[in-house]
Amino acid sequence: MNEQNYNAPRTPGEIVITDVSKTFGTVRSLDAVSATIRQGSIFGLIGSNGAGKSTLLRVMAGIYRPDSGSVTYDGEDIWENTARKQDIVYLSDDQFFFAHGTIADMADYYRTMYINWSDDKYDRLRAVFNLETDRKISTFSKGMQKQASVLLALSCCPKYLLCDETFDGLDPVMRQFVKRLLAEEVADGTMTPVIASHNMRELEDICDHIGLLHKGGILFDREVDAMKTSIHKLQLVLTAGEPDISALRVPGTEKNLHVVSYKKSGSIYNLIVRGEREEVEAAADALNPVFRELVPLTLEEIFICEMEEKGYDFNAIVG
Amino acid sequence: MTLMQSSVDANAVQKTRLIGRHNNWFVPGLYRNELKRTWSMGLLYAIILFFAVPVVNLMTFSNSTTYYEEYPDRVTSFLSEYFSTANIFITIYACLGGMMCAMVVAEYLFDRRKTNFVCSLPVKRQAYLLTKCASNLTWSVLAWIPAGVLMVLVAALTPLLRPHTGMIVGGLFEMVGAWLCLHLYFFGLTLLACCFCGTGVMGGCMLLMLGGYIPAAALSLIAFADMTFDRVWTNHYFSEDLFDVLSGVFRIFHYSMTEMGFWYYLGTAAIGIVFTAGAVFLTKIRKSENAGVPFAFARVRDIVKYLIVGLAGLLGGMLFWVMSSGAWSIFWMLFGIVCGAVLSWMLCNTIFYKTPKMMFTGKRAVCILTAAVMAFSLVCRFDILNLNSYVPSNVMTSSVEVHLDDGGVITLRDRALIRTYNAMLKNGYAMYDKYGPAAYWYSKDGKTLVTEDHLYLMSHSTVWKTRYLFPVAKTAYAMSNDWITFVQALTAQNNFADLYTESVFEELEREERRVAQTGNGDTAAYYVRYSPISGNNNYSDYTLLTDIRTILDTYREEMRSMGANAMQQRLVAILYVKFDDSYTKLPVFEEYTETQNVIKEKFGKQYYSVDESVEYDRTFLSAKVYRNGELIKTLDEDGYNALYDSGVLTGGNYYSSLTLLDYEYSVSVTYDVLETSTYYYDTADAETGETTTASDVYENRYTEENTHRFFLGRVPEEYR
Repeated sequence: MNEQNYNAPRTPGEIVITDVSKTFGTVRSLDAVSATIRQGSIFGLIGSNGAGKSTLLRVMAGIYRPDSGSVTYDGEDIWENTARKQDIVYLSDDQFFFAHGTIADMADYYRTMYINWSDDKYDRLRAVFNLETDRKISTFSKGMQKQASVLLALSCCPKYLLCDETFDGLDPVMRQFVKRLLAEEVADGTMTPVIASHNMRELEDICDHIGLLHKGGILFDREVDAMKTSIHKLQLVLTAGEPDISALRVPGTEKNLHVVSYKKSGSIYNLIVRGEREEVEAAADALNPVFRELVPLTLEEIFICEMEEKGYDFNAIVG
Repeated sequence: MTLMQSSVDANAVQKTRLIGRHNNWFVPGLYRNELKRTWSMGLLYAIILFFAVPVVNLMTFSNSTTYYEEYPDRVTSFLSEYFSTANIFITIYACLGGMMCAMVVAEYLFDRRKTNFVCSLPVKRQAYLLTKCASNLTWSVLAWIPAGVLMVLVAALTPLLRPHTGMIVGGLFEMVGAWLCLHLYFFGLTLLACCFCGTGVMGGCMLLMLGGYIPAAALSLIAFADMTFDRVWTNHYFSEDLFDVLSGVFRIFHYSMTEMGFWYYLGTAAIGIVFTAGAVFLTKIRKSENAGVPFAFARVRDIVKYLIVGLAGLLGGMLFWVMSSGAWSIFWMLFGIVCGAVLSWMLCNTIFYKTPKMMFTGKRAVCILTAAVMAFSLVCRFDILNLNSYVPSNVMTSSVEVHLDDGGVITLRDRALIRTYNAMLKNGYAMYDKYGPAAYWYSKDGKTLVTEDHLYLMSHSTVWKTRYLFPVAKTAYAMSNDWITFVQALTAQNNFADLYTESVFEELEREERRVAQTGNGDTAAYYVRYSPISGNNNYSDYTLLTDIRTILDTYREEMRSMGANAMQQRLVAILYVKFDDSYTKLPVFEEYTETQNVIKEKFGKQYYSVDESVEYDRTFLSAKVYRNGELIKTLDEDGYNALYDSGVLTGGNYYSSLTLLDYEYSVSVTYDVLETSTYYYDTADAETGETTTASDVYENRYTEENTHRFFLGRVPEEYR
């Protein structure tokens, strides 16, 4: 299913997941999952509830040891590898805090455990988040607890931040703020967030690489930009005859563009075509349309197309 | 540039060094953090221990200090042992403390969120566990130290408490080290249970099973039922012995009080360390922490399940057997086995698979197991394996020693006495103060036929063993052997519930009459008959079954019907008195005056005794004070209490042990407490001490009527 070559030479600092399987009792949570997460990107893991997103993140965080396969970071297994785990911070969807602990207590604990801990960053973020560091975290609202966990995690200065439904519970403003924080970290080249979510719209505006998990397996993972530039929604109004649009030919070449789907309503054609923008435009113009427009596809639409191409019912998968 | 480069290198080295430290088995930073986070729990533990252990003991001492403080070290060392090493409560504190500390260490396994959090940290799981152990044990040690130091300081300042083995060994080790050893044992046991399961609920279940606390809890419920419904379904020993067998707790406690106590404590600590190491090893090899799943090791699930089912079946059979009697008791035993096995099987399945739908998984296996438990129980019940062959035949035996359970606590000094008695009294009966009954049979060629452990297996105390697995008592009757009957009767006084059923009771009565007629054994067996009714009040509330109480009430009512409205209870002692280094077996009962004369002659001092008369309900009537056997004063209740409060009357453990004290001589008297009662027609008779014809009816039973307690030392002026 995976389209990448996992035997390809590795670049330093990447997390490579190779044929990882994990079973709990009779439930196979991960089934031969493979993926590569390179530094400097924001990797989104999308999937329905129970697809295996959290399990995959936990395997990557070294919480679970895979039954088979391996998860390596910089070429070394993450499991029980304290040196590698120094660079990875896992943000659970239900983060643990000490029973009567404050943010200061937790910071003290993280400071003990993570040698990259930055007091400067902690102080800066503390001011930004405006949380009371001496107040018991248990008295915080869910959203404030999420903020606290993000604050603490970022202060650890990890190379990989594994976020499990981190944006849940944050208000829209804070959600955008956290996304911006993550983006800044990526822009600085210091951190690679891996964000698991069941909400695709949540990931659309931040992730540049997305993997789709379903029933314990990754159906595919792609660069978001590549996906967006390689597939287009085309609206045409044609007046002359009924051209064959199952394959659009790029003028001057022998290349046929793959039409993923099309709908015809009178003289209006709605097509989804795979190909570079220029090629699609040229192929469309060759049909002499009265009207032509290339409309950007949402990530969700792209996924629907991709999935349908693979024979899956996307709505059944993502719900 | 060079400067920057070297700075970068230094940082890298520092980083590598820190990472290396996280790779170790111990994480110093985490250790410090844990200490910092949990100081309040450590303080709480210290406060509890401080008040629970030394202060309670000191309060106990405070009542007797005024009396004992000037006495020789031998006495004080005895008391020191009694109240420190031998204090059962210290074992219990250590047990609970160790368990709680281990559960605090393993608490992250009980919470899925924290388990995930911990496992995501850049620290190895075994290092995390071990570091938490270290921080926790640090608090434990710090918590024990104030309690121990206080005891040692008081011991150093007070002769009463000065350990005879010295301040270092006797003080620091016995008072502090021993507790810590026990603490470590229970800590390791609990931690192993938690880590064996690797997670949540089952850790607690394993702990309960390993520690034998499930049976103990069941027995506690039965004891509660005893009180609630005014019935006696169990006895004191029942629960204690199950503890002993299933957890080794009391076994350790008993052995630790011997002269080998030091090594037992060290061994206990070593076992605790092994358990802890096992827990760490399990953590290391476990695939991953997965809080919420019953077992980290799926393969052991069935083993554990059927172990629990088997034990629960046995326990169920035991409980139903105890609560039933007569011919149907076998049926109820089997019924109990089925109930225990099946219910525990269903419960285990539900917990292990986390759904009641799996409740009936493994029907065939549980059927086989239940049948096996039933077969085992029947084999034991009917002694098919001839376990009773441990009882030696009459022709093989030349002498026997009997150790009577008087509710006291055996100490190192007791052990020394026992050895001496064994040596001196090999050719006859020997009876002395001991915690827990035991008997030694000696063969004609001088070999020991039955050791203490044999008897322990055969007869020690529990209904489980005596009635269920080792019905030695009935075998003894069947042998119709005088001295074995005698031994069994003596041993039975606190133990054999079987003996106290009415039919057996009558049988015993016939036997003892025969023994009394032959005069075998100083007619002591005659009095044994009445001992359970008695005065060994430390245990009588626990050990007397309803049947016994009924019999006692019947006798009393019989006396009432004859017109008696008062009775005088007395204690009878079989005495072995140590005068310095020599031993003299004192005559008993009828020759009691001779005993007093011996004491008088040896001591060259006056001796005093007190008779007390009580009503049926033990309401005080009067007390008479004798000097050298002559009545010098009659006391009312206030006067009697004042005499007691003044510390003049001694009695060690009141009914159960007696220590004679003198400035010049140290005399230890060990004896068995037996009881007889004399019944009077009216209160006036009790006052005068004159018996009536009613007592003639029972004259063979109640031959003595005076209670004697020795008191020497600081006798108030008015009595001199």
